[in-house]
Amino acid sequence: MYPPKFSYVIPDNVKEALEFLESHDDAKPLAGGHSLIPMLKLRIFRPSYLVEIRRLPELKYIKTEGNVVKIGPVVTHYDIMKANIPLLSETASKIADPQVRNMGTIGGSISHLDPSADYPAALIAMDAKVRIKSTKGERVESFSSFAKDMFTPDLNPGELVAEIEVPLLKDYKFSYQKLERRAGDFAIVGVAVALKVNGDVIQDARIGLTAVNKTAVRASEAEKILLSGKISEKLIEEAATKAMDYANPTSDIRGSAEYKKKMVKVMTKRAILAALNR
Amino acid sequence: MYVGKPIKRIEDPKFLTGGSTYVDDIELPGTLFVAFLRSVKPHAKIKIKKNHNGIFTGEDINPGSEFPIPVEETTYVGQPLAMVVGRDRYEAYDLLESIEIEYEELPYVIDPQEALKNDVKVYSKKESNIYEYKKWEAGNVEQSLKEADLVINGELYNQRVIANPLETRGVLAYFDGNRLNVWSSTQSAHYLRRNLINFLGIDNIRVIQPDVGGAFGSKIIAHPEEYAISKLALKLKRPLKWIPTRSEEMQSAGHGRDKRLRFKVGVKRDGTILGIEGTLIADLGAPYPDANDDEIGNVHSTVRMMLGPYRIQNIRIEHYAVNTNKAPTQSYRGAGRPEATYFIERIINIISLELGKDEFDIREKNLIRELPYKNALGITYDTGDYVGLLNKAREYYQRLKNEANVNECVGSSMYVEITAFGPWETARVLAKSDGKITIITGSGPHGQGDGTAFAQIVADVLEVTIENIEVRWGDTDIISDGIGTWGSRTLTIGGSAIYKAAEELRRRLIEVSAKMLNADTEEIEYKNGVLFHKKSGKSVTIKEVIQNAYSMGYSLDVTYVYNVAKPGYTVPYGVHMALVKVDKETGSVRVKKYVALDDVGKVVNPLLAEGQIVGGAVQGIGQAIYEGAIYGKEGYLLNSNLTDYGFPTAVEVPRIEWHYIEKGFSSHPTNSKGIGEAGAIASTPAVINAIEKCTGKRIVNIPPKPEEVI
Repeated sequence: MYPPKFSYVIPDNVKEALEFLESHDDAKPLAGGHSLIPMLKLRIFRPSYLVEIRRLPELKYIKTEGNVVKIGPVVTHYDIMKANIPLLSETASKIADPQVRNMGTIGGSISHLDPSADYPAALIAMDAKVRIKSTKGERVESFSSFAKDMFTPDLNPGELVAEIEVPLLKDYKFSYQKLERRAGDFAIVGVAVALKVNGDVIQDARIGLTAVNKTAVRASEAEKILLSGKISEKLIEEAATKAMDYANPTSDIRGSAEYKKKMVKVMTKRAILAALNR
Repeated sequence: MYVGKPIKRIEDPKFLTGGSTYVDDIELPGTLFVAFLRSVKPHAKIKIKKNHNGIFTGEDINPGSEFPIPVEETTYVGQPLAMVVGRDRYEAYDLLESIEIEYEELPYVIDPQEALKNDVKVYSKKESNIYEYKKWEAGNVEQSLKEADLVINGELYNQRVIANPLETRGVLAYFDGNRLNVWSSTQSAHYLRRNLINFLGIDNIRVIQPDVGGAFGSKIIAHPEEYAISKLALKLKRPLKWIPTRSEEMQSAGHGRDKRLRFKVGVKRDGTILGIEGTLIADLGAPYPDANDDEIGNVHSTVRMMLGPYRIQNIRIEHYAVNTNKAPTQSYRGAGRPEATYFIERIINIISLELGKDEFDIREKNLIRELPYKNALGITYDTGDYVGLLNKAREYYQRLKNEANVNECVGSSMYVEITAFGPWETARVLAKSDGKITIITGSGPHGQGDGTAFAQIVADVLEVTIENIEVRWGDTDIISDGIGTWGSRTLTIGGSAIYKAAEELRRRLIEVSAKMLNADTEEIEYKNGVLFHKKSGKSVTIKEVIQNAYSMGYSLDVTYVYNVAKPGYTVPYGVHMALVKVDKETGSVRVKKYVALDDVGKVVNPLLAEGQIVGGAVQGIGQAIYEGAIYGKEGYLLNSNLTDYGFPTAVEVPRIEWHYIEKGFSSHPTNSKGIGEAGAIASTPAVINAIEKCTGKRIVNIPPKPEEVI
């Protein structure tokens, strides 16, 4: 309940924040604080400094430029939910509860990388890109390479997620299906699906899975099945069954590995159907 | 008349404006904060280094004894072992990390069925892990099982759950050099005072129960920390505050239920139940005396109420109440009766499924027809119309069944419940010179809204408006004594004391008015707060009487002790029904609709009674679908936070419909029976019965895992 002692830094701009983070390897940036503060309260994490970035206006924007949407890292789940970004907004709407969504940010969520988080299912399906910034410059990584392992982002000391870029999946049908025990929980299984449909043929299929691996994965063979023929119950069933191959879940109090694997099929099927019915 | 009306709570305004005072809202000058070091081993010899002056151990609290704070040996994870005192809570929790403790691990036992064998001792100073073994027997079970057309064997587990009131326990204790003052989040100031007097050996103790954020049984007993803080306050002579974290609370308090029944039931083809034989294993957790004493009574309630509202003459139940290296179990809403109702109503469902007969028909076949009725294990059911209520419930049941879609099933359960226990309760009703009537109860409401009901009762007796009445409780200085709030007793027993005190006050008001009007008391007519002399037509108002009484040498300060006559309880009953939707693909279960029909005697306030049913039903639904304290093999509670230990949110709670009949009045002056626990008693089996129907699979453990439901 009670965090250990730490010092607090309020920088004037991103440059100052980055300089401080670079010169103090035991400093942590504070965005929405809804993963960092709970960890501090359990004392499973003891940084010497918190660097407040959540009020820096340079980091808070949503811009649509042509076919891409650029999102600043401290944009909240609530603001993303309201922004009508195909797939991503629906995914944001299912994160935790209203109070958490009012504070939690997309940059914080992906820098934390809880393996049961919601965004990664959508971000991996969307081929999202992550722009990373430090005093030395910038680099851009695909979300899939950014998410190295659970709780392990591709971030070096002194680096900050500066932007998340996703394609604007205009004209796509999409759905995020989250299996949860109760409203407000993390996902037991989460499946994000986006489909580009022409008549009864699927022209592009994207299926992202969360909570069933150390990091989110694309069920690419399942996607191929969807692209292989006309939409039918059988095709959907086959694709959903294939998606199970991409799940390597662990047993915990939310369910056994076997159960979760089965649920990947159920939720994939539901996500495809929900997308098609959109 | 106020009684019988849905009067809005007089308690509400202060809570809705943040004007309430819970224990952690109270601050005395110079208050220090205490934090407890807790065991991380289920069973171990302990050595604590007092490497600075601010560390206190069992030696400081109970030298020569192992309880409440162990000196040498810890028996569960979460047990308080040592204390530190900080200027504030942040510092206290920093200081906790400075304590060095050595554990010498001992073998431990988590499963009560293992503990029974006594191969591994829960506590080395106790001869046996079996706290109590008892055989309960009536009729001839062997014979009844022989005569049966069908004998069904089964096992049912009513799992360990955690009360989890939104406000945890908490204490502020201050010894002012003369007197020990203790504020505690407790269910009774008076009962805690008695416990502290026994433990500390001093009697100059004042206990205050401030506003309390729920308890559900978890705050009846005095907890180890309450004893320790009080003792330390005597030592340090500074105000000491203790508020645990949620994880601490979940690891160490509020554990309840945890009973397993293996049974055989003999039935005839027509559904008549001939006899029940069974073994009940109750897990008491670690041997903390206050908790074990509390829970053993609940074990007895489970056995004796297992006959339900049915004419079952042949029964034999053996019970083992067993210690294990887990947090000690305590009362939790229902306190043994939910397990009883769960067992018999699950058996009814199983019989109904085995015989392919409607559960209501099975119930009716076996139902008690005439009251009063003494069940085979000696519990007397006093008043009511069981058959009438069951038949009325059939209508709701049919309606719900008509509403059920594919993969939706309706489950039901019927309960009888013992409520309103003695031995007595106190009330003080007094009139102040400004005309205001003050009620003080010896009980200790903590959310149930009895204050409003008490005001209704007194307003009717004195024929004044409810705005004239204030209700107070929870301070051992403002009333001579009291019992407390538990066992669904407050309105009925506490209310009867209040009713009697108000009657005495009314008598005194008449006496004073007679003097004022130069009349005999028989000549006074009391109407709407005005007292008339029938002959002369002259009158005085109650306010004038009150203003004059003291100058005429009359006290308008009445204390009444209401003694509870034998058998010391009164028995409400009802039928609850749940429409449950089972997702056959994911195994998710949702209660879509819930209907309750109860007879709790006279309903003093239907709005608040319904509130109790809704709250209880939600907790019972929580037990059926979401909750359960899970211990790992290493003896740790695996879900000691509100993420992993799920209770229902508004999304999971169905629409709950409440109906009542008033047929079975109690013999108390209020004519009421208790309703505080009924919802939690009836809902769990109703929900599980519905799930069992939908899946066609016998459910032993609850909550059923989604993978078992598919």
